[in-house]
Amino acid sequence: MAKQIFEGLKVVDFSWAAAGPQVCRELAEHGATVIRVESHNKPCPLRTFAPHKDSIPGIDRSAFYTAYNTNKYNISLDLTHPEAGEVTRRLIEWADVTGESMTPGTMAKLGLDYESCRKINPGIIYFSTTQQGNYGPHRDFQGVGHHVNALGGFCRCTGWPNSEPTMIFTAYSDYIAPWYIVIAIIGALLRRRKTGEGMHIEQAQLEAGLTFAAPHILDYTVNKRNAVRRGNRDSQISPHGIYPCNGPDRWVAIAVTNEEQWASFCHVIGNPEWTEDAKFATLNDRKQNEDELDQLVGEWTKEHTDDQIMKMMQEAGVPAGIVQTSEDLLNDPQMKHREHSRKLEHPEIGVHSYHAPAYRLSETPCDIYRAGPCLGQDNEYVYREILGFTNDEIADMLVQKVITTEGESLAASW
Amino acid sequence: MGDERVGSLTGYRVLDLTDSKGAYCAKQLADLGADVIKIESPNGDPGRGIPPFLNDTPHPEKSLYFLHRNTNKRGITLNLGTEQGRTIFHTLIKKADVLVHNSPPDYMSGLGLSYEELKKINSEIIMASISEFGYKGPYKNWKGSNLVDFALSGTLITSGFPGKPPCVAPGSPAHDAASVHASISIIAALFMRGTTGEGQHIETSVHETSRMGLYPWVVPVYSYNTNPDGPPPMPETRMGASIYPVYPCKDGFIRVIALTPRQWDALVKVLGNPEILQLPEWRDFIYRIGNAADLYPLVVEYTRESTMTELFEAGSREGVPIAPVYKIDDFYNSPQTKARQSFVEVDHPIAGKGEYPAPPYRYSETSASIRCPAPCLGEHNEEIYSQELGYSKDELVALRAAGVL
Repeated sequence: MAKQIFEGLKVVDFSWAAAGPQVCRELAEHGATVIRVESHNKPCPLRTFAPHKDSIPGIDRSAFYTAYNTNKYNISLDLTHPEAGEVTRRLIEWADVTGESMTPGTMAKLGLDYESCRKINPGIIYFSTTQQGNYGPHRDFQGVGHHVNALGGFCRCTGWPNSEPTMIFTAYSDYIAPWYIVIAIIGALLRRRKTGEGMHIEQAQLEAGLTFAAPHILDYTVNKRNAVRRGNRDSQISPHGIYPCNGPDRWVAIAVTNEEQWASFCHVIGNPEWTEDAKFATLNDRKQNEDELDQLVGEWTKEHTDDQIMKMMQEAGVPAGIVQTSEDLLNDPQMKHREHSRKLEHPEIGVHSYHAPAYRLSETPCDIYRAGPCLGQDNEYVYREILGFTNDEIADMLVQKVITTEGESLAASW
Repeated sequence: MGDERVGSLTGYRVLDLTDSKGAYCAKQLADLGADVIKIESPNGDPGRGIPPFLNDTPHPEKSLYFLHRNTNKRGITLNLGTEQGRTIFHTLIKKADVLVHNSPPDYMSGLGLSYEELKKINSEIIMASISEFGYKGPYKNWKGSNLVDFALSGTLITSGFPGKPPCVAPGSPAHDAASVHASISIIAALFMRGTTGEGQHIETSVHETSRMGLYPWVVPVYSYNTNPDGPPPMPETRMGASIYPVYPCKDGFIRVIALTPRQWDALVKVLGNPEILQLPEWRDFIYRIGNAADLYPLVVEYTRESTMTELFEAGSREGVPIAPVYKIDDFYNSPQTKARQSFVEVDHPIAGKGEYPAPPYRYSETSASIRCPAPCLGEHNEEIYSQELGYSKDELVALRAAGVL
């Protein structure tokens, strides 16, 4: 394998759920050695999330969790145990980067906040990412990324003018926020190379989410206008929408971005008489009569499959694409060409496909080679080989339940 | 305007050939202190024509869309379609660390400006190419757009209401996701170059990166042994509205994320313990999803009695996450974004003052901030061509007349 960018970089991952673990996963996929710290008393909530192997829940059966923790080692450690301090001290001494995504104040209580870690390892780069940030009057509000979607304006601006607000299903800010943390960490590593100093990176996922709604924010701060729901309309593109196709719940996206494409579009649909109508002649005309236009386009699309429409339009140079499902995505010829899905073997789940990282660097490719670990899967290797504990010490920690082996239950933890 | 401390990318130079689809990439580098030179054709980046505009007046210096994506950059004009333009570009490449562009595949190589060619001029150059579908493969020459790429990424199918067309999220999420991916790759490649001394080529597909806005289960769920032949995942049938329901209240909407029985009990308490919501079957999350249509009017009767803020705060107190569905002004004016200084005032010579989102992370030591507004078209031509590259004023006049600048 080619050399990877973060080969030799050591990361301790105290984060949980989605946003924090994604940060460390991306470093791991660039070659960093990442140790994820968890406990059977309070396992990561993602372990409770479907899909589970054969639809049977179990602490090591969630494909959601494994996908979020590729390439990482995992140790079980009860951070609240009085004897855990020696383990965390060795972890922090060893690490270049560490991070957490706990409710503000949690890490300080455990003696693992930035100030405490810096005393052990002055060069450490430490990230904290939380829903609303570590300071401010709302820092203690509970919630997940779905809240941030609502707080950050996404939900209010998604949907139809006459519908209630809606949203893409995912906890969208949970994907956006980690990218900025990765940027900040690499920036901090560049600086550390020059100065030898570490630092603290703090993030409110709310702020990170907001950045993707930026044009609307400026429209408010400058023009004092609140964005509204407008379905799939675009002020500069028409037709622009999601149209029904032949088949159950099948849809196609079409975006006619200029007059040349409008001519091509009309040709593809067979130049029906209505396309000659003056009320659709220019972008401005089409915007004026868009309800009628969308109706007419939809009548044509209904007669064809999504795949037929996408190909006919693309051959004519008109942007169009299927509204793909998971199954479509797995079979998408372009994604296949890019080897976007890769198979990995997991001790409990077996072999199945994972999304590969979307980072494509010519000399130092990103890679996934190990499924997200079972809880405590790497205890022996990490405690003995990396942290230097003897077999007797490890046995003692097991007896004292510093190293956990089982928990009370696997109820969803939030 | 911002923090003047040195950023972690201070000292690196980035050439930015992107239009609106890739401009957000180099902005990330500029926010960290890199010297980003935005290179536009003499006609200007088409992104200058994207609304919203200051006072709704279309003007190349008043596109708020453009202004946000290009803060912290310097700007010059250069016509790469001319031989002289390309010669000047070579001079710029020699002194640059990074080049980012989002031209269609084959466009740059057609101009003799492929990575292989540019590497001969500057072996350390890191070149990032953002395209809709990637540089190879069956869709290589296909046309994309934010909506089309988002649809193909598998993300869009989850958005909206059952049986109705899926509905896209605001902004340009597909292109922003691709741009930020490219930023990460560039900074990582700069880190690598520090040890190897070598540059590399980065290739980013909008189609692929916009998928990253979706849970990572989509492929596993259809892969052969997690859930073979099972029904489609609920989100794909747009059941999100039942799982994370939105309810109208006195002054807007709230969104409730009650998954566990404990959270449901807390929600019932927030709503004043109405008897009808205390039926034991409602405590079961799956039962609630299956009977969402019946549950909705029962809950709305109580949410309508209170404001967003009252419900938000009561939810926080009782232990059920309830989020107000904020309009832009709501979060702009919220005590949290005020306390965090989430927005930074930027003063542009033509568009005037506006508040822009700050970089969404805080460094304890170094700076990541907005130092200067987006450049006007060709604003730094003299500064860069005359003062830095040594062209005389007469030469600049001639180059401008020849359509090179």
